Amino acid sequence: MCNTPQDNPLNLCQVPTGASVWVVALEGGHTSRRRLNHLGIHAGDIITVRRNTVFGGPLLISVHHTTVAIGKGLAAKIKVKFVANGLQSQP
Amino acid sequence: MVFKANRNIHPQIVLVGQPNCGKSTIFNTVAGYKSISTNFPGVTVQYTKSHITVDNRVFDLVDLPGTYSLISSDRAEFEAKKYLLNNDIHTIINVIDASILSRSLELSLQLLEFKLPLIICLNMMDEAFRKGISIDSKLLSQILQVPVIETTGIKGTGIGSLFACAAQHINVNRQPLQYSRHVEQVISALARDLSPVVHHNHRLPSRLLAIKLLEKDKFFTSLYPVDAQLKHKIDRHEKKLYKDHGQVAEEVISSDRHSKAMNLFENVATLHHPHKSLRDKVDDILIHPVWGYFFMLGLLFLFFIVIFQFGSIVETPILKMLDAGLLQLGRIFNTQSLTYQIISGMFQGIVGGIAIVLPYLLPFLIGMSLLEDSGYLPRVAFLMDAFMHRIGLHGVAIIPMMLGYGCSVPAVMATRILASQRDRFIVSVISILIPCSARMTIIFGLVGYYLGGAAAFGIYIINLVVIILTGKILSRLMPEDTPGMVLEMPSYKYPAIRVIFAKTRLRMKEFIIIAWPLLIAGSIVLGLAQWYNFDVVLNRVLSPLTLLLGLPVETGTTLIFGLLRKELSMLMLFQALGTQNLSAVMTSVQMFTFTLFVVFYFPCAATFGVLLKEIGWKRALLASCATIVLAMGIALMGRGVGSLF
Repeated sequence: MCNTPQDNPLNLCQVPTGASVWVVALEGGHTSRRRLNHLGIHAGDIITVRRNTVFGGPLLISVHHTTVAIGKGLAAKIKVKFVANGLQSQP
Repeated sequence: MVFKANRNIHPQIVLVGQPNCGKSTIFNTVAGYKSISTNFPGVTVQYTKSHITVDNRVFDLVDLPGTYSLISSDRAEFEAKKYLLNNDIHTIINVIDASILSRSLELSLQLLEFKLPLIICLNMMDEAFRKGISIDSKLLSQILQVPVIETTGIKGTGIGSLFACAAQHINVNRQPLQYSRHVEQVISALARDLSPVVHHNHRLPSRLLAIKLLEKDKFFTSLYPVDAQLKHKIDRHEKKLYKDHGQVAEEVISSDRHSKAMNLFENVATLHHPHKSLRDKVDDILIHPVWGYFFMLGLLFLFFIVIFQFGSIVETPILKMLDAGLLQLGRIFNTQSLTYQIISGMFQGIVGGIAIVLPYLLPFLIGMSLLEDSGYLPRVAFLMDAFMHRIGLHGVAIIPMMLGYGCSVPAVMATRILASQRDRFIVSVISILIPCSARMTIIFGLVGYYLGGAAAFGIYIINLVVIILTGKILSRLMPEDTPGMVLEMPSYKYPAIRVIFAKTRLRMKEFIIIAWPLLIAGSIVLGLAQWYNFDVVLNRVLSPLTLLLGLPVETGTTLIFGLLRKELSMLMLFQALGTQNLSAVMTSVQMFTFTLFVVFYFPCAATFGVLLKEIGWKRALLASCATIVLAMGIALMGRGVGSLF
């Protein structure tokens, strides 16, 4: 896990529960980017994944001191990289 | 001699803020309870207005719908922008949830671009403290050059000084913050080009228009169409931004504003270790992938049981009193006289409200307010997302549906929190099928009371099945990828008794001043109709329907009254059938069939009105008529199945 290829950004769906990542880019159209911007999510921001389950269901993330539920479809459009010391996911 | 019309216009104070920042709570604290506040984002979709008095001066206080930004073209933002540009605003109070200051400041920066008078209200200071954020409001005030007042709206602290400050600072216009040098250069160059366009409009600063045209904000581009020459200039500026930043103008500006807000936040806020509180631990259980669902079902079931138990305990003695009262009336007046018809109609209307509606409505409304204010509803949306995807929607759609159990009107209005138009249509249609509190009183008062709790529960289950099927069918008919869910989970809050009380009173008032008089008048009208034998005509017209469903022909008129208010359908039964003991004149199957029909058929007048507004008259009419067919089908099935028992 520690050797996650740092060069290729992941999308948020691939981030395990407990890990912190920073946003590299927001993909997708106008509308979805704006909806993410509304919640204060821009490139460069740090997101902590509070819950990411294998089953459908949305992700639960913490960003800018709030908790946001975000559908998998939209989460897949958020490209992220692990922050330096957040590489290990919590058990 | 010329008279000048004294239109009595008061200076205006306008509340602007992001969804769920506590604007409505502040509004209600000073203006009395007029706007429904809840603990989930996006509840206020229209603006509410009220007179308030501060230091012996009268002001108009306006509560605008919550908006995350002033960039996009969703309906709440459209309304907010329209209001800000078309009204004489004397002060804006920008309400900020202090616990999410960084994000909220982005809206503040956008508001400053309007160059209107403005003060900032740092609300929910207690919540910020819990999250370990302490804010230097003096420093914030210095940097923005705007007064900043700290409040905790739910406890009422700081509200007095907030409005005193607002009154002091009316008409003190503010200046926007500068963007980073390079972006600012482009904006001010375009603003200079635009100044001839806006010179006649004193409310629209040219710099604001420049930003909005670069952002391609639809509200502004449609309002201020530009000629070819100007278009060329805008394009040139856009290209310049794109060349230097590698992003389209809108993104460049938005990122720049974002980093400005973040810097500002880092300057004025200090972070401590958050207090991990009981609420966080509770939240871990409430949204647990397994226990969360147990809790949710348990809670809803408990809700059902409490209302049913409370209601039936109260209903029995009051119905007995009603019977005794009617006998008494019969002794005083000649039962064959017109006076008796009118007086007994009135009596039934009055007591019917107390006996049948209130015992169920009151506990329901209290429970609903508790659910709303605690912040639990968004958790339900989170838990139900996967399930909702199976009927082609996503989790947020559950919120209007849950509200629908209270009243269809706010449910249909709340569909605005959904991003896609197709979702809004489907959820509006589903919401009108959900038994609102009026229909709930029929389910409990008639089926529950005479046939038992299991039968009442059965109706809810049947309803749920129909709703799921309707949702599935509609989303198959209108295939579209739903844009997916984005929903903020607000912090849990202990519902304030004062607010719960006020909210319940406001919603009860709805029943007492609108439905009850209607009910009394309806009973009298029906009494008169019976006296003149007019009800026979109506019943005959509706007899194909009532006969098909195997109902007493007399129930025909009650269905007509139900179009005004759903409760009337049941309450008029007493008058129409001439007895308080319905079990003597209707069989169990008839009661069950009748209730099923009433639950599903045509929405009441008020709901139909909102539906017209939200989804257009064609679709509203189509959907409403379809409900009649649906109601007939289900009631027939109910009749068939019921007669097996």
